Amino acid sequence: MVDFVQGPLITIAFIIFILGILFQLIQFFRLTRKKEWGRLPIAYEMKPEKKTPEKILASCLASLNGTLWKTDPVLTVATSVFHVLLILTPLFLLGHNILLDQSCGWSLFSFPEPLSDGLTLIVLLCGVYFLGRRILLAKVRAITTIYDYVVWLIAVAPFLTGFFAYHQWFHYETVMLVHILSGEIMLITIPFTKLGHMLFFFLYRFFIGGEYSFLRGSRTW
Amino acid sequence: MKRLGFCAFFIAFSFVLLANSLLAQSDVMILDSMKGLPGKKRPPVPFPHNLHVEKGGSCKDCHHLYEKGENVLDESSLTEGNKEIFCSSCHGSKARLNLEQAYHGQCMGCHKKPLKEQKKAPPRYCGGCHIRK
Repeated sequence: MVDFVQGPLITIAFIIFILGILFQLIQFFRLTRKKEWGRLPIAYEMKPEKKTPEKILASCLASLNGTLWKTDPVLTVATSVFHVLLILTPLFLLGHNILLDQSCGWSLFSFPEPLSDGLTLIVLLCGVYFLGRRILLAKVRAITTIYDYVVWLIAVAPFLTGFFAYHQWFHYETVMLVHILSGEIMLITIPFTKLGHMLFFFLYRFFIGGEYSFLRGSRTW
Repeated sequence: MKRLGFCAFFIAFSFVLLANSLLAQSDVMILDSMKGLPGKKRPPVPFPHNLHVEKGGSCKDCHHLYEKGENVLDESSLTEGNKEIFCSSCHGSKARLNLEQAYHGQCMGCHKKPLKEQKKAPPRYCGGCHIRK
């Protein structure tokens, strides 16, 4: 069991992660393929407008109206920080990069360990904030199911166990084993659960957004 | 007379115990050659040499001097205080494997072997050797 979790399962998890993402990507393009794409008529002629720095700034600020930034700035900051650190912290973690160097002969740049430790703590605090919202806020609780808690656990568990492992709290070998296992579960579940927004965020945000604004209903991908 | 003999035996026995514990302590080397070198560091590794001698088949399983892919180290050079046999004498910052990579490669090469191939599980993760106080 231990040999399997710290050996072949790591490779299996990465293969499922990459193939799963490729499968979802192909599925996305396949399902959105259509023979003919209509173009919406242009409502008005666009007049080139002279842009001054003030106007650009004003339009940037105006674009924030009606977004989450206006309704819930704390959540906006927490979720932005959480998502950025969720990717950066494990990529630039010294321990991960040393393992990478040992197995592949190359590695990424590593943050100093106290910095990684602090960033992990921030991820965990954001996680606690999201969990608190789900439990305490009626409007969020109303749309929360057990599935959301499971997904939350999948996302937070590698960071919690990693934090314990770094500080060598509890039984170190067991914590490390659970840490590796939780990372593998996260990789395997990303393509097949709502954690897939790791990939689809970019498609939704830029492609579909672009379709309805810049290119008037035409498929841009 | 009998009492004196008992006291002498007790004192001698205590010395043997004390010497034994001192020798056992000296067996654990602290691998801190990375001290003073640039880079990010974990706590130095306490290394029980005798335990590894018992586990390993020969000195040359770890100690090495490679020439054309062959370990040509003369085992008689493995004497305490001989700086030429230190890992750092070859694995400098410009070597193909620097000191950190050499240590990790040498230790993890065995420690990462599957559990079923080992009688007693050695430390397998970073913190098993880089122990925080």
